Amino acid sequence: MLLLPAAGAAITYIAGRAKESYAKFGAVGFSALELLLSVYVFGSVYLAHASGFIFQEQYPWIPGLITYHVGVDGLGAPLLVIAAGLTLFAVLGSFSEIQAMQRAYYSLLLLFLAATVGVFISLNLILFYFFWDASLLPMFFFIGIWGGPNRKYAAMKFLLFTYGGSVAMLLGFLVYYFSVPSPTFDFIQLLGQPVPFWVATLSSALTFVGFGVKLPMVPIHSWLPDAHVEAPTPISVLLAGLLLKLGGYGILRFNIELFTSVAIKYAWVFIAFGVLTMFYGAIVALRQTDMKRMVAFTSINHMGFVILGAFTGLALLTGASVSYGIEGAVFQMFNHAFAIGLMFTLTGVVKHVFGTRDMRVVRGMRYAMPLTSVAMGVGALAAMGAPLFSSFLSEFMVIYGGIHFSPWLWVVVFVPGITAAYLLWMLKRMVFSERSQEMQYQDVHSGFFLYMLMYIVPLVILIVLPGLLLGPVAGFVSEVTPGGVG
Amino acid sequence: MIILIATLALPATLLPLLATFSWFPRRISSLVAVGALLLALVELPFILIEGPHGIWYYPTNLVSFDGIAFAFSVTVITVSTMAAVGSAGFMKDESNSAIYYSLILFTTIGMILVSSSTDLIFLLVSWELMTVPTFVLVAMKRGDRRSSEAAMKYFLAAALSAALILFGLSFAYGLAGSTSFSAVASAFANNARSAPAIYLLTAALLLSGFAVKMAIVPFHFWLPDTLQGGFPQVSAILAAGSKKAGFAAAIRITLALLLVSRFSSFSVSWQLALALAAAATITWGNVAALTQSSISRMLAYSSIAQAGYIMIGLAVQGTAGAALGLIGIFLQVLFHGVMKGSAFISLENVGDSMEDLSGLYRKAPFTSVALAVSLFSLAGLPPLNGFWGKLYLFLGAVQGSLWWLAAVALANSAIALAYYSYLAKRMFFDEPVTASRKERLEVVAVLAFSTAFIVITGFYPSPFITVFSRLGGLP
Repeated sequence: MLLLPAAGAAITYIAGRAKESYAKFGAVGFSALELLLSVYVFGSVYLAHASGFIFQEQYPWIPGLITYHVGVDGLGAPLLVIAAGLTLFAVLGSFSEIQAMQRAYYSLLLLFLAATVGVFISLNLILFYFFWDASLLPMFFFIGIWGGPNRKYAAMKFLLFTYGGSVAMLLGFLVYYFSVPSPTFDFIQLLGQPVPFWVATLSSALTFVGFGVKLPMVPIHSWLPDAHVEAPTPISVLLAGLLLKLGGYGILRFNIELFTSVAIKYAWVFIAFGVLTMFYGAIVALRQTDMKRMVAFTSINHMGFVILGAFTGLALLTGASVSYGIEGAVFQMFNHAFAIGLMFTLTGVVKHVFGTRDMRVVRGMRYAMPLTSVAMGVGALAAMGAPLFSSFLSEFMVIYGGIHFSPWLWVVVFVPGITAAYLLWMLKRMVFSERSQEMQYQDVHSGFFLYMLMYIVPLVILIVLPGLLLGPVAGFVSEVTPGGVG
Repeated sequence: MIILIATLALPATLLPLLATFSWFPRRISSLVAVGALLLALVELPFILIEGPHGIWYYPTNLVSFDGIAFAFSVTVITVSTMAAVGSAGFMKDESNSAIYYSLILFTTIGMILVSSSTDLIFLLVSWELMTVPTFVLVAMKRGDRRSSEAAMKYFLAAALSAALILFGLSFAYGLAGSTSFSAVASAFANNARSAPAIYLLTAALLLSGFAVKMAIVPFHFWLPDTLQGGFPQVSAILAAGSKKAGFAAAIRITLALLLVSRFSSFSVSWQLALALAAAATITWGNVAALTQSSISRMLAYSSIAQAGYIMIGLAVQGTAGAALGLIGIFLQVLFHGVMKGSAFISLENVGDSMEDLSGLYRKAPFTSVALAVSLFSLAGLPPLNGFWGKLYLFLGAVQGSLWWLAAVALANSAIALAYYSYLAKRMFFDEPVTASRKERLEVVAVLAFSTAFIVITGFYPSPFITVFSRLGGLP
């Protein structure tokens, strides 16, 4: 599973030497294969109906210290589907956008996929860190080489912010390693071992910083808008859809599953960060004029849901009442990946057609660009969490869990409200407005329209059959507190 | 071991002699030198396999080819080979190329002997054998004032270093009545309680002498000027090779220090002093590197910082993290040697100013990728091998309860990435501003080796970790 994209990257690079277009086909082929593989893995996890990791493999890597230990459970499986699926989408979306250095681009794309897959399946802390950091460099080059006018600044800022988070995380791991009775980096063996509470707190705080940078969590989010604005469209899709999920995955895997006691005791602290992130993301998005920047802040706002859901859900699990928080958090990550992918693709279309993404300038799209307008309407509805799309369910679950945890958390219902407000305002300004005489309109062709609608298909399927995703996730939830309420 | 030395010494002596004859084809001197170094590299594992009783093992009072010697010898021979191959192009038409290669071989012998000596006098002699040829190597860029200045500064620093070692040595001899390490160590162990101050002074003098070579803050001042002035290949030998040999000597002395601290009232303070020196060196090196506008100066400061990381391994000796720290030192020495050697040698294809670096990917794609790989590896980013040495050193620090040191070092990794990625940004994102240089073939060959080494051991460092963990601790 891991070898496929990595080998694919090499083959794509070599094949692209013969002809640039081979690189494209190589990337499409390998990411499609990886998608099939991940769907198969997801299906197996779904059918297993059990908690715990399946497809485990273990080989000694560094003798006496680190094993190559991988496996998939109900948390990793849906994210694998996102990883492979979005990479395929990004590859397809790159054909027209990326003209320079295609060989390097497509093989880096597959390397990035390999690194993220590695993160989602690692069951060893050092292995996890290894893949975690390996995902940084491809992204650095994506932004820096193929990005917009301010790309150099954005790429440096991205690299330094996220690497700063990484070293905090590594320190957290190291401290934890030496504090358990029998030191090991193996995740499963760590789970059962007692540690002094202050060690767990320290590790939890350090790793939370590391994951929070990636997520991104306010106040360490500021690399994200810059990176998004400068990144080319397909990379924005990956950045929002996939890279941010690494942070969400890390929080669920470590802060929730490993440092459970800390997460329960200081739930309020974590939740406060989550709520802050939600409101900050939403309110700042409200006053953006650049469409892409607005969508980027929407990401921040949506990731706040993940923090909120994860920690309220966990706190409630112990209270023996029904919780939807953690399920909602994973569900939210899944939905956000596809909804925001569509929105970023649309920003690319807008930029391509009008040469600007300024929402005050672009208007009257409904007259000359019916297909784009439809896609934009659908995308906005999906992103704001309107019923009809599964993003509604996930936000509902998180908010429901939050109110269950504390009545005061009812305030977060304002967040989807604000989100809906600015997305509708965007539609009003860009789509449902008078046609401008100076502007050149050009609609997307129908193939690209279908491509954009493909993003939404998973969301429509999942509102009808949410159990498809929530089943495996429930398996993960029962892992967190064995014997608890799933 | 005697065969190993002969393999290098024979061509080193014969090359300049033969070169005086007009019939001798000077152009083959590079081939001879590289061949000798490669042969030496092949011989090394046999010494290891033969074990302590093998025919090449040479247990005398002067030399012991133990684990430390092995680990450092692999490093210095590899680095010298890289430098020798990388010099083949610009040395081809030099009249004194035979002397150049002979000096490289001599300094390599010096480094091997420094890392394996077990006697203070012998150490000092080896130390000079290692250092004196490099004065000439640094000054060899004739007609360049900066090269002469660099050599002068280097000479003064090295003289200071030798004086400090000699001073410490004379104290040690006075205290122990012998110059062998084991006798000095047992004198420390048995008598240090009576007059700890004089023993501490002895150890401090010796360590300071080594620290000049290792460029530990505050003894680092000569390194940036020297590395900027000479040929990049020579800088590679200095930064990646002979600095490391200083560490081999320092490891052995640290043992003696530990014995003192066990009996003196200064018990914790030695460890603290080493740890503080490590933290100061890492931080100073990284912060100073941020502001450099010359690539070789930036690399020099980065190598100061890297020496600080190795100091972590010294600081944890005597604690629970000693074993991990020692593996970390070996890994860091070997991997960093290759990385830093690779980075310096690639400058032959690049130039030394930031402008030369701009848009390098367009001008010299292979060199730029190789340089980027070595830079990110220096930064410690997985999946490159620089990560593993640091990981082991950090593990050692945390296990040795030096948490703050691990935290300082980790925070520094983030600072370091800033200037490494700034160089990468120049290479890949900026437009070219200066004319391109020709990508020299022999440099490309060296870079191909080092890049492959960095990536492969990044993914699979286990063979080295296994060997180094078996080499075990101090003799």
